[in-house]
Amino acid sequence: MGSKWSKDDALIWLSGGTLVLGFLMVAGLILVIVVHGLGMFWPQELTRYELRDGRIVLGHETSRVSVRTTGSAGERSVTYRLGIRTGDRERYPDEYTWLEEGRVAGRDTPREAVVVERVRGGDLFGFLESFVDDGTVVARGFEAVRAHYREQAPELERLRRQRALSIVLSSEDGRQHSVSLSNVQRIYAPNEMTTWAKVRHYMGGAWAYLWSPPRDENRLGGVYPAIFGTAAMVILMSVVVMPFGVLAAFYLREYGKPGPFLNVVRVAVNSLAGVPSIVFGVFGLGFFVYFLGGTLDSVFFPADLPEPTFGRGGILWCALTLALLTLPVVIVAVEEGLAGVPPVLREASHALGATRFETLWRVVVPVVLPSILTGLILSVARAAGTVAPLMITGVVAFSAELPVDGAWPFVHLEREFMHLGFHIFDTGFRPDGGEASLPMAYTSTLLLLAIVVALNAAAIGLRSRLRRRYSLAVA
Amino acid sequence: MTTENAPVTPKILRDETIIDVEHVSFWYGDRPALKDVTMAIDRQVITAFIGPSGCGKTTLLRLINRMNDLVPQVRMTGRIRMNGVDIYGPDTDVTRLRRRVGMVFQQPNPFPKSIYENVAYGPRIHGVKSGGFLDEIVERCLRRAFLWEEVQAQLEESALGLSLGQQQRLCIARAIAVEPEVLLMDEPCSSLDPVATSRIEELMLDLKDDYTIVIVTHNMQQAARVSETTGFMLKGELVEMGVTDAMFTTPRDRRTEDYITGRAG
Amino acid sequence: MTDRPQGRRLDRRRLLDLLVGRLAALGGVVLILTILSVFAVILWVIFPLFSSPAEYRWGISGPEGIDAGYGILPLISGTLKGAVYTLLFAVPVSVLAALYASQFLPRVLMERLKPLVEIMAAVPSVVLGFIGGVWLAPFLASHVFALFLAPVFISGAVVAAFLTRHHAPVRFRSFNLPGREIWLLLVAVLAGGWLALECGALLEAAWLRAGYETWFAESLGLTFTQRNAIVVGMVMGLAVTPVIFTLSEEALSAVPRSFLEGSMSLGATRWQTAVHIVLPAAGSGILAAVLLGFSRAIGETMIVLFVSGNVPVLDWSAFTGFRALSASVALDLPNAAPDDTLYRVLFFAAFLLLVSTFAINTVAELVRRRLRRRYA
Repeated sequence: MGSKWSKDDALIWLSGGTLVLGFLMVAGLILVIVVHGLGMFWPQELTRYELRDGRIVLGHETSRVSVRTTGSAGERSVTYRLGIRTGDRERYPDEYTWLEEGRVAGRDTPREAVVVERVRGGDLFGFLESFVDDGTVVARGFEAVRAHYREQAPELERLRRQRALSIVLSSEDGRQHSVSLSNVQRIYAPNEMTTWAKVRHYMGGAWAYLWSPPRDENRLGGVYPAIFGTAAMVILMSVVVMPFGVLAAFYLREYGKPGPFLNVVRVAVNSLAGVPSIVFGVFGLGFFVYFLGGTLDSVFFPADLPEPTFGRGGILWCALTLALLTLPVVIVAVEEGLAGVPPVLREASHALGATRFETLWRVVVPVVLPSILTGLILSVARAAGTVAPLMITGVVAFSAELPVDGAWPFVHLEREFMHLGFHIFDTGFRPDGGEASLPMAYTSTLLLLAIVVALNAAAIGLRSRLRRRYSLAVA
Repeated sequence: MTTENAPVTPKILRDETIIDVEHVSFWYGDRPALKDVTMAIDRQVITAFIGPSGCGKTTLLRLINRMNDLVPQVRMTGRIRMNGVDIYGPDTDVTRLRRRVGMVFQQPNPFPKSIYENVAYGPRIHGVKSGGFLDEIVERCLRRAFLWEEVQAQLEESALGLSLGQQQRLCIARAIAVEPEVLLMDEPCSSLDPVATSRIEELMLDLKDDYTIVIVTHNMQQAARVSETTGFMLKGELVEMGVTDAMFTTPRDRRTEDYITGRAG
Repeated sequence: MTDRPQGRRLDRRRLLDLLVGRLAALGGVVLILTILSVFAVILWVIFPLFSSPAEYRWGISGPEGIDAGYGILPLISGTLKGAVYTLLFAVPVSVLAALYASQFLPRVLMERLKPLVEIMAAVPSVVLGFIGGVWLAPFLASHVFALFLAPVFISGAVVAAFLTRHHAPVRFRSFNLPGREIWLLLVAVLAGGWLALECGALLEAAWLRAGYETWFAESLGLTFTQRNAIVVGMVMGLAVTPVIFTLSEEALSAVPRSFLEGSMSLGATRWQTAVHIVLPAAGSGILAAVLLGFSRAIGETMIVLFVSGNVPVLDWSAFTGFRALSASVALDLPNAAPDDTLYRVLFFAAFLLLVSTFAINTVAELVRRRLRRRYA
């Protein structure tokens, strides 16, 4: 056995290693997203840490990092720090604190520790003390307060408005907080929850995430407006891009006579496909927002000027910008479908005296319909995941209004809107560190990833079924 | 295997045998390509295999330098020996085997490199580094392939610019640059015009003093012109093998006769 | 009587045919107009920049009286820095992987891999950027030694896996049919990565007195930031790898089989054949793929936004971040008033992105066409 065999085969294995490495890295990153993203709604057990100096911290551990220090004598030591989510923004900025692990004297998980989710101001962790109704204490102690709260819970909405109900919560170090019931989103005691209760809590959390508006600067609550905004923008975009894309593809494959003009169109498609997404955004801002929007304002809304109506970022301009971005995607998909239509079909139709349009409409279009659908799905997936151009053409981190609502004229094309991808950017990229918004960012990332992957998988499946059909037809 | 179909081992061992094929059967997936082929190829002789397309002659040729290793899902039984050593044995170094058993293909397939690099490629991968020595090898092989006069002025130009006949001779030069003992030729003239074909045939006759040549062809005249031994194959079986002249004049098997006289195939 | 309605119907049919034909042509015209107007609108906005010499200074010294406080030169340098580090990661990984996939992986497996690669290519850059900036950057910043060790250890583990398999009893007569080795490779790469992490921790224990920032400053005299060019290279590398991989694999698979057989028949090993024959033959296709990857990296926005740190610097160190043209546009344009200098300068940044990607894509297309002609 020559040594050359081994050496060269080892090199083959190394090249195979790079393939595996590439896949593993992507898979690893996606796994991190999935684990973090799915963990968001799971009730975390609260741990009470007693420190050597007598301080007590209540919260749950989110990270454990090593810290290297060198003493004055040059001796090295490694200590560990625990990142603890503590809630209570007034006391702990960012709702986090660090504990030196060596200074923790004891820890336990008190059964009665509760999480109070507030509408504003973030979560509080602590122990239920009393239930106060218009200044009178009506219940005292964990069980009683909880029983009283549960009793009231069905009517919470109504009670919130009527009476000054509040819950008094004592934090781990004995300080008392009074939380007005109007500011209470939910109360639960994670340490005494059964697995089944946790699952129910989880499902409820996931449901609320999908269908409720965000609270607390996007750190809590749901992403319903972002999902709605993304969907509305994508639908608007599809309405624009599909006719143009399909027409252009028909021109390139069916109607265009080979010649310089056809070549120029082809070059235009290729060039458009290569333009960076941010440049589309810049174009959208310069052309759609300031030029088109400005013109619309001066013609139709001169009364409101200088306050712009269409002359600022909005959902319509975002949709148009993304329509340009996804135009090549649609064209390529439809072209591929048209290329797969056997020429015999067209010739047979022409031989029967049909015009080109009739051939196209009655013979070609039915065959390429799935390809058009593929193009639609791919362009929707692309648009749902593209953020950069939207950042300068009308997406916002928070918007109280939806682009479609009950107020005349129902569809508000000029409104700024929320977008799932931008929601990730907003919650994941806070200059002040912003640990508190990260769980939300992970969950939104997972949601967006799932949507885009599902759409692409659908398109790939559709296309491969199509290819199989053609290969059968040809065989 | 009936006695009627039994392949006939040639009894014309003028020289010693170099390649020995024993009861070789071969399948592509479930499809049998060779059925129990037994034969011997002699040193420094041109051996030709003829037969209709799909008869397995190319498969047999490619088994001799293990080119079929590249094809997935194949199966082989039997034994092929070269100089008495089993070439499918566990200790065989396939690269060394292929270096000793060169091959020329149906379509001329020079690499998309210069003429010089095409010939120098083989010696290079086998470790020749010295430029002067390489120059020598390239010139010697191109001369041996009757190509030197035509291309010596354009050694650095792309080999793809040559005519097909020249390309095929370049491939022969490339093959002999690694100094093989056996040269396998898989229908080397099927894509060439008559003039180019006759040049290749001349070259083969010239080369046979130094190399053992095995040629597969569907052109019976070519087999008759260049080979000393001929085997006739049909549907994966080696029907008959013997001295070329004898086979073309007095075939022993009815099927050979049918093929040669144009009644079948 | 019978002729006229028929004739009129015929006319209507022709008219419809003509109309739809014109409409389709209109689709083509819209396409051309779109790409032209992208150029035109951006040029229109940046034109005043060139007519006023005072604003021209922006290029070198940065704007005066604007908070941003940086010129466009560091941005150009930053964009190129990001793209170069991206290619440093992506080109070896994707070209070697494509070589393996095209030459050594059974077609059946490759067909199964293709949809996966396609889905990888579709992962939105905001997702990659987020996970890169929020998780990968801090992770790598606390495992720098492991990062340095990883290439060596992973290669070592792969070679070890190969030797194990090579010296295992041979059940099959030849070395054809690779593919099952992919599972062994998977284990090897994971094991190599894990070993690198463990050994990195040992090195940390031995060498590190304080954090990595201190170690870099004291031992190497380098600045080290968490969001640095290496992380950008890896994350953006993962984003462009599917592009380079797919196009390279296409080019490599298109190399005629006869070249391979010619080389193997001379006694070349499969690796020698792949490197000396197939790789050069597909060279221009791979070059085109790399160029397209380069242009993607230049225009990429969300990943650099998250991972690069967005600090304008002129250095090319692997351990510092940068600020890219695209990120500046995305961050600053929402705050720029129209017709302001900043507004025009950011349009100029977009113009640079547009022109450079356009030029690179065109070159790539020409290179690809040359390749296609050669094997046509």
